Amino acid sequence: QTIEYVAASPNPPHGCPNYGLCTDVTTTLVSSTNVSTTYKYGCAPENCYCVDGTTNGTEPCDTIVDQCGNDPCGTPDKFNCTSKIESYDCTCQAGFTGEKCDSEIGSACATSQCREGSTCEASDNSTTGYTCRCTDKQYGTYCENDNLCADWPCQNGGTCSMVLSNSNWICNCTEGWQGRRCETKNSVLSSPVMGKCYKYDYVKIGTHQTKYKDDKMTSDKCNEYAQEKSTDDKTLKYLTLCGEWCMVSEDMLVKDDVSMKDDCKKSCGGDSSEYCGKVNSRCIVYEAGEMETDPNACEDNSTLCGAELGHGMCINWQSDVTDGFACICEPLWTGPDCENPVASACTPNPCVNGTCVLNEQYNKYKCDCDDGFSGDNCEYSKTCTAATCLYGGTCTETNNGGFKCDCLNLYSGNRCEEINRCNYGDPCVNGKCETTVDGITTNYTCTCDDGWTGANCETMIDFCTPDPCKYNSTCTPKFKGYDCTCLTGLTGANCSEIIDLCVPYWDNEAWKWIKSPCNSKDDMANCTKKINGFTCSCGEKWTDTLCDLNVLIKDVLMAIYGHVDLTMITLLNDLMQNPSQIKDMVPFITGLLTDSERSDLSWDAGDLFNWIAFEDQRLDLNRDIHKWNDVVLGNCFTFNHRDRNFTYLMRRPGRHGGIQAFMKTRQDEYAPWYDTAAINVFIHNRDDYVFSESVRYNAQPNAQSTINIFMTRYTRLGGNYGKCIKKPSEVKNYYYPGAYTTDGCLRTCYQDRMKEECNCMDPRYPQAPNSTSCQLSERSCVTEASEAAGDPSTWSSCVCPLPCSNQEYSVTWSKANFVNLPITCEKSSDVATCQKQYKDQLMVSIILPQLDFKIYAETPAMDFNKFLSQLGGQLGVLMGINVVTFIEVVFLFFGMFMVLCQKYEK
Amino acid sequence: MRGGGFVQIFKDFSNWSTVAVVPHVANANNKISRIFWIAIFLFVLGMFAYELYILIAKFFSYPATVNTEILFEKQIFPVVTVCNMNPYKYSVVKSNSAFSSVNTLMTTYSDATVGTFSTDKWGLYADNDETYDLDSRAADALVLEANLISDTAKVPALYTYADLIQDCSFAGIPCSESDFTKFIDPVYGACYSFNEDASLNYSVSREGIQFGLKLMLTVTQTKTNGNTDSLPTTKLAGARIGVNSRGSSPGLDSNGIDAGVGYESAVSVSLTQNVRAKKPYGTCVDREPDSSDYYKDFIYTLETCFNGCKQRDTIAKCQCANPRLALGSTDTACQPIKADLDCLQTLKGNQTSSTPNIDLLVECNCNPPCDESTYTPTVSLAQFPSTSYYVATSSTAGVGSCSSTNSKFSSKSDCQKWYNNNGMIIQVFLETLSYELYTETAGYTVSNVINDLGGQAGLWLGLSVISVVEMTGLMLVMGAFCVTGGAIKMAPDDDEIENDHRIKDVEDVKKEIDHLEKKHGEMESGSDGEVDDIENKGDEEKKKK
Repeated sequence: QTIEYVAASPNPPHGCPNYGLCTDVTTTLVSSTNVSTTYKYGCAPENCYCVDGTTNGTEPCDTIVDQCGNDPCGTPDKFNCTSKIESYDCTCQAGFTGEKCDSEIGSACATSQCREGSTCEASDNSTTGYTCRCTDKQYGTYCENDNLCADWPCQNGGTCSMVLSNSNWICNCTEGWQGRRCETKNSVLSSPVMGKCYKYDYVKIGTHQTKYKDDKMTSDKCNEYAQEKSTDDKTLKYLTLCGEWCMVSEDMLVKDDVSMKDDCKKSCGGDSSEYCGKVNSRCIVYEAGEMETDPNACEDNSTLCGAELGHGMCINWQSDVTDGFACICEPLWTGPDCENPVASACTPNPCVNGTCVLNEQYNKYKCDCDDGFSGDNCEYSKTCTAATCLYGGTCTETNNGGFKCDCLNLYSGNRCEEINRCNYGDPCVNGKCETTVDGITTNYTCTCDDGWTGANCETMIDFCTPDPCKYNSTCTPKFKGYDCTCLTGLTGANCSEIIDLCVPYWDNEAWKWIKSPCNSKDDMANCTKKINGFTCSCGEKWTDTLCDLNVLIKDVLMAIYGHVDLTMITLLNDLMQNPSQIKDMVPFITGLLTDSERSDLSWDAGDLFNWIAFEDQRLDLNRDIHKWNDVVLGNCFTFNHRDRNFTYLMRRPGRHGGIQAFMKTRQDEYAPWYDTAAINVFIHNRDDYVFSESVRYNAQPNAQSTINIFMTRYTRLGGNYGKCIKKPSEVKNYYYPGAYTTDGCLRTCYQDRMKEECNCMDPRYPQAPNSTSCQLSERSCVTEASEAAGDPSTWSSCVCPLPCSNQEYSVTWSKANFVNLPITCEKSSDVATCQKQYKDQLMVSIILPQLDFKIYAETPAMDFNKFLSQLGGQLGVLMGINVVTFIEVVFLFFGMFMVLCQKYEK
Repeated sequence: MRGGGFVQIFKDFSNWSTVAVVPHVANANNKISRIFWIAIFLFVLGMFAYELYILIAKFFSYPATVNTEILFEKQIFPVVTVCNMNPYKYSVVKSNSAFSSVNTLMTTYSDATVGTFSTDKWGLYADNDETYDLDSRAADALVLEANLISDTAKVPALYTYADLIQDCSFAGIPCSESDFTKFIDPVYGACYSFNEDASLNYSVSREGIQFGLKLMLTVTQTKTNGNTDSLPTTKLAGARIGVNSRGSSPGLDSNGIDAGVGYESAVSVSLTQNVRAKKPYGTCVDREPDSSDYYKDFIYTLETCFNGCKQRDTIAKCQCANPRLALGSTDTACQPIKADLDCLQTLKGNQTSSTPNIDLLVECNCNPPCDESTYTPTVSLAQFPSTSYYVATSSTAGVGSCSSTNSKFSSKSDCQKWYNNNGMIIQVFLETLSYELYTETAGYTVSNVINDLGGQAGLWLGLSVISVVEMTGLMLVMGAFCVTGGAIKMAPDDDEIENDHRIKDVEDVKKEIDHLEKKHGEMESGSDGEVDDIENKGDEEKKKK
């Protein structure tokens, strides 16, 4: 059974005019029998796709685009242009003919044989008579020959002439020139040879005539000058150069030779590498160069190139080139010496299917082919017919007997028979198109690119279905993929990776790498990552989210405030970093406690004292030692305190009259911020108060410290002699117990200032009865106010005179170590432990070496009695005046007054 | 006639007397004026008497002033005494039969420190609860036991010069044992004093550590073989240093400087001299009476006086003398038995008791010395030896240098460690050549009294030496008048004056002058009238115009 397709429209291939293509060919069953099936195919007008050069008109693709808009054929009055699909056709206007359409039909030039490029001029009133006007490069009746001398190839005055039956040209050179174009000189002047240096000869040089001057003098220039002046009978052989002057002569002009130095080595003006001497001083003599002439080979041998036979001609050339000559031959001769004859080009006839036309000038031929044949030798038949190229293609014959079809666009193949459906209409938008052929109907198959789908690959694939993004991240579809907008703390293409925040980082402050955010303080902490964060498992000493809060600090804050006060964390961290500040901060915490609470925190007498003795008599710790508490110092123990009923007196000088104490430092109970271990010893008057900054002496463990004290008493005068204080009530405020001291007064001023600035008082010192203590959070205010105000002694509001009476103690000191192995340790079962405990103990010995002491007492330099004595003495010595004298003077004035009154009355 | 003569004498005197107010009293015009001047005279006389009383009272209170001078001159180097804090070598005490009692005491004390008590003759068992009392009793017992041993028998256990002093140099010049004076202290055993002998003339012309005394001492608490050589009662490892002037008692038991092992102790001293006034301005004495002077061989100081007084009190109460203090020729030292030790213990200060023992200040009547020199020390420490120093000494009698040839030590490091535990360096030097001299002198002398008296007398009475001469003259005149019976006339009577012709002539001239003055007065009154007339005429002319 056969299937037959019948076109529904006469327009090929699918029914659209001007070879338009159809994007959707429709087939309709016409008939179907047992033998065959017939289909009719066509194209709907809206599915026509036009080829280039056509456009839609009343019907699709029925209009050909105008191609003659720019007059491509030439002058419109002579040519006639016709548009075609993407091309044009040129014909002569009516009545004209020829290649340029410039010959009128019927005139003689219409059929002239003038060579192309020449101009035909018809004779008047003659249909056969015409004249060919040639160009400069042409000559002959029909301008068929080439004028070879038209380009003037000869140089240097040579004359060009065509020779050898006008098939070649030759240059007749002038004298001194040779070569094919007379481009080479016939003779060469050799370089001069430098001789010696001679002394300038004024007489000979002055009388010499053949000389000239040049600022750019060189030996070559002088050599050329010598050639110019030379004649046949006299040869100028010597060149004498003196600076800028050149003298040429047959013999040497100067003969007095000297060594080559100084002026002899003056360089030439034109060439610094040559020596020219110096005028009026030194001259250089050169030997002139000689003229060498190249021989003319053609003249020496007249038989070269077959000249006498008329086969060729000889051309003179340089001796080093082809033996000095070259041959040009007749067209019928060839070979180096034109000794080989050649036949005529048309013998035998090379044109198979045409006439051989001989060009005698060059012995070349040209075939004039018969109809139906082509090729250089007319050996090919013509192959182009109307049906050779399909679908509007243009047929062009090739030289080898074939043809070439110039197809319209969208068509391909040797005969433009192939239609690629994928080349028009762009059926696959985002894919690869493969055309399929099913009979006359062409079709396509689309292989979509990644990310596209659909019949024509017009639909973008949605990669967000199903949602590839994890942890509820946002999925944004895009070409060939998707974008996941991850939540904070997630990363990766699908947001499936949790960002690990437990990574090492560089700490600029500590200048080191930190293992993880949890390890900035605690090396034992473990960091566990989670979405947008991390969890820290702290070690035993640290706590809080980042394990950067010391457990001790937290305990302190919880104890003080009941919660973690964030403002205090920085302060307490500074404490841990700088232990020396802890000593300053502790009073701000302990100051909030009552005296009894602070006393319980600190030492008891039994904790520190093994024994204490005075005048070699052991003392009772409870009766004789007074325990009191200071915010900074803690519990202190005072012998002979003012609050004790009994007063001990110094009755004996030396060690046996002083104090000895055997004490323990208890370093195992020390707070971690204390950097030294010692017993602080304060020596003061019994009524004086001990400040935390009072002068003290340290007693070292594992040693006996002997302190020798010397007393000095000061007594001052008050009233008119000066300002001094007898009791604390004489100053405005005084918060310390005991007697008045200047230090106490200054600290009282300080406390008043703190009260005014910070609304609380420094807990390190005694306070006013109704005031509140500054807490740790207020320490910065206390510190800043203290720094801003300066020392209280400089304040104008602080008036602290000296006391009227006080005592000072100066000290000398010495020390000796305990023995290495005390007897108690020697008897002990554990010697090392005993020695360690023994080294924690110390002995203090306080001695008054002398019972005498100094008293500095202010006494009046002038009392009343002394004043009277000195006054009387001075008055008596100088004027004899005494008390009665003043009375006498009074009487004198009284008498004068009486006399004046009497006179007034009169 | 006689009374009138006296009146006349007083009248004449009052006219030329220089005493204030007296001429005014004599020449008063009326009674009221005379009473006034007498009152003034009595007032100023009273004031003068009061001031005179004050001056006399001040003079007889004998006030004293202290003059301070800072002197700069070449000084004699002070006496430097060094003792080992451990008085006796324990190794010798244990082996020498002369020290058997001391050895027994040490053993008993060692047992007592760990709680093992036994009945002993010193009574150590009685202080089983108190460490201090036990240590104190043992120390006292050691002194008493050592006192029973003669100095000759002590020599093996005492530290010799070679044992104690390894190196000695003064101002860079080596010194030797001959520069030291050895004596035996009851507490510290053998002690050596540098520059004590009067024949030595070590002096200092420049201050500083380079021009002082440098000693390297070894106290040997541990011997080179590792055995402990300190007595159990010795608590400290080091030396006891005393610095005092020549002739003074070192007083090491009471005053002294502790220098520990392993250190260089630099002791700079400064001199202070006190010159005090004797009676009545001060209370200083040169020496005690011979009958009570226990320290005849030393310069008198308050400390020697107190010690002597203390010793007398001890003898009075315990019937024996304390060997820590000086003993008199007839005194008997206390015995090392419990009874004597208990008695000595009761003499230690008990001020809180109702019957306190002796108060040296109140009951001893000790006066300060008239001439006293005191050296005040200042101590600073450095480590000895340093970690890279191996001790080198020229002495061959002692332990020797830390060289590899020293057979006493197994290595140089052991030697260095031994010196760190047993050796020290002492440097004593003058801090400055200037010293303070305090001189107590009379504050109110006769010259001052005369000055003040002159002033007061001049002010109130106008008295001077001339006045005194006048008074003397007056007395002489009155005396002569009494002797001659009033026959001598000093001046003519009033009647005789009137009859004198010269007086008459003067009266006549006076009358004439009075007469002339009257006339002159009349003429003046006339001229006054003329003036009045001229004025009247002027007025009349003005009226006419």
